[in-house]
Amino acid sequence: MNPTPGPRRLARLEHEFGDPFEPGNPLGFDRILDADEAETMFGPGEQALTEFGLNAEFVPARLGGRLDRLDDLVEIMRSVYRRDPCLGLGYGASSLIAGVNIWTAGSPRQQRSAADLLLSGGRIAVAYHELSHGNDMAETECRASLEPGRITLNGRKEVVTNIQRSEAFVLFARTAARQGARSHSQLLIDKASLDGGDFGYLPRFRTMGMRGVQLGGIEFRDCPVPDSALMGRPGSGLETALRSFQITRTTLVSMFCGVLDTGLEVALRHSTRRRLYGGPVVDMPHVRSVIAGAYADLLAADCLASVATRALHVLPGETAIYAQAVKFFVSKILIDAMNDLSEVLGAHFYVRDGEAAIFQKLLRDVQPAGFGHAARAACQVSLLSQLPLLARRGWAEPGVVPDEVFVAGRTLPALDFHALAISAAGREGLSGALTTGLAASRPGLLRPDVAEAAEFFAAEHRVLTERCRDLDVTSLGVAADPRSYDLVTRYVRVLVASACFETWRRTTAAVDTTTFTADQRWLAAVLHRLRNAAWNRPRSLPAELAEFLVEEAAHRTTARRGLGFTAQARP
Amino acid sequence: MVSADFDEAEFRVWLVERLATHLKREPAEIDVDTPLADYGVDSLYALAIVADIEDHLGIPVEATMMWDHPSVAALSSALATQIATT
Repeated sequence: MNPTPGPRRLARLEHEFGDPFEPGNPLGFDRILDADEAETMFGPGEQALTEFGLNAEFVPARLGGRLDRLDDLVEIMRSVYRRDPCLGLGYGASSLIAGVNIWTAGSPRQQRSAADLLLSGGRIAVAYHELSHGNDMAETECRASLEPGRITLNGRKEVVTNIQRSEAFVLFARTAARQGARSHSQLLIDKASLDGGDFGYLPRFRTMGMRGVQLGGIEFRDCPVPDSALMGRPGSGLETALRSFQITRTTLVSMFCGVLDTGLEVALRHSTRRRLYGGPVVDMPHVRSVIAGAYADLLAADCLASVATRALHVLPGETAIYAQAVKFFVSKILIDAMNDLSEVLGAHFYVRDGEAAIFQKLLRDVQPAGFGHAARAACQVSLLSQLPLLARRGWAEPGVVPDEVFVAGRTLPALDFHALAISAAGREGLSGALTTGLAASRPGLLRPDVAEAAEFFAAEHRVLTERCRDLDVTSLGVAADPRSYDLVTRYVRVLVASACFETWRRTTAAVDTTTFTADQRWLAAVLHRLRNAAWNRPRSLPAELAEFLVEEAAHRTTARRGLGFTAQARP
Repeated sequence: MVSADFDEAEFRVWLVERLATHLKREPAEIDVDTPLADYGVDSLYALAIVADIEDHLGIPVEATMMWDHPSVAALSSALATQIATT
């Protein structure tokens, strides 16, 4: 049976949570801030998400859940993140990461039991992290000794969301002593099977942001678990992680767009209401420019993340690249835009009371976008090592990227966890799509500023292809020259420019040209920001584009609509 | 290029040279039976070198080939088997 369409589920969630700015709303910002001050999860919010059945969004439809399109999942989760990122991560995303590992590598029986647990409102934690090794998963020390009939666990996992209050967890453990990529495995461990075994929970880790999220740890001392806990073949752990993390790295960071959406709304409300120097703050040209710039940045982030999310369905052989680019680009632009907006709020971004108080929480809560689940820097160095191969293969002869990657709402192929390639082997068509799209645009169609910026990024693509083709791979590991990291930044900007240009161009060609996505001014604004960042020039938008975006944002806020491309209706 | 005439010995020499360059060592220091991880070849470089092997031999190679056959000798012999059976 097909689940209710995503937009209808989203509308129901929005309706059940109501307007978060409304002072009397029991699920609104005032109560969310109380929970943050107490460093606890927001109980009524968790209750409401249970009633909504949020966990069903993480379970594939074939197992009785509602997961069929990742773009629907992201939209629903953004709606949670724009209210309380702690709910997003601490109620939701942690079980999602575990789930994606299980749907990728679990046996039919493991998948069934995980689906049943999630659908009944249970939690599955995901225990990968060890403080000593950070993102270097291959160095994992926590050990699972595989013996006939049973598995014995030794070692510890640290800074793991919900490890104590979950009913089950996915454990990433060393299953062979030798170095290399075949020495790790995932286990799906039902907490009930630990009864009587020697294990203990570590004290909670306290944090600057996401204060409600229950971060803990677990330590095993010769703790036995049944051998049925092993997922997949012994030694397949790294492979499973490289597949499933393409989904979770792309979608989790995309969910954080909800944070900037609220940040913009707070800045607009505040600057509209507040009067200084004889007029509303929002009328000051500099304030308008900051708000417009942050909005353009939200659109750039949303666009790249949405394209990469749909690519998980359409181009699973290429998403090993896109997932890292999304993590690298989207996390930083969201954090930077929140910092920019704090200037508009002045002292009010610092104050923990009043109507703007949610901003200081979101400014803290957005930080894990840059390091949680994978660090930006780890994604950057991984992309760096792939540049020569990309230059020789995917950039020299780009593959075709179909319309449904760019045009929202098209039918997507079913998500196939096994089709995700652990390495793109240098093949990706997105960065080259701009060059093809530009050549296919009829003269006069493009605004002069768009045409000029598009030419610039098409030229960047050619320059990078030449420059990276023969890069010395020996110097591209973690010990790489810091100057070569700049090549990744330049490459990812081309990817973003291409995602935005083609989203505009293909949407304009395919659908009603009155939609916001088909309006060339957002594209002009995004390309202006990207391009001036590339040249280290001021990124303030020209007045015409700043006015367009501020008016659009103000209009959406008044009309109770979201700021993304979907302009989702809100209570 | 069709690689029916795969020369395993020649391939080993080529691969050892590539690895030696990557690892900043002399080719003579690389023992063909020692797991490459012991020399500091990480899992991501192991994926990248597979693509180089594809370009060098002109045949498709599984991305995880070097994960599963982690020494020069094991990899060469697995490739010889793959080429002989396809």
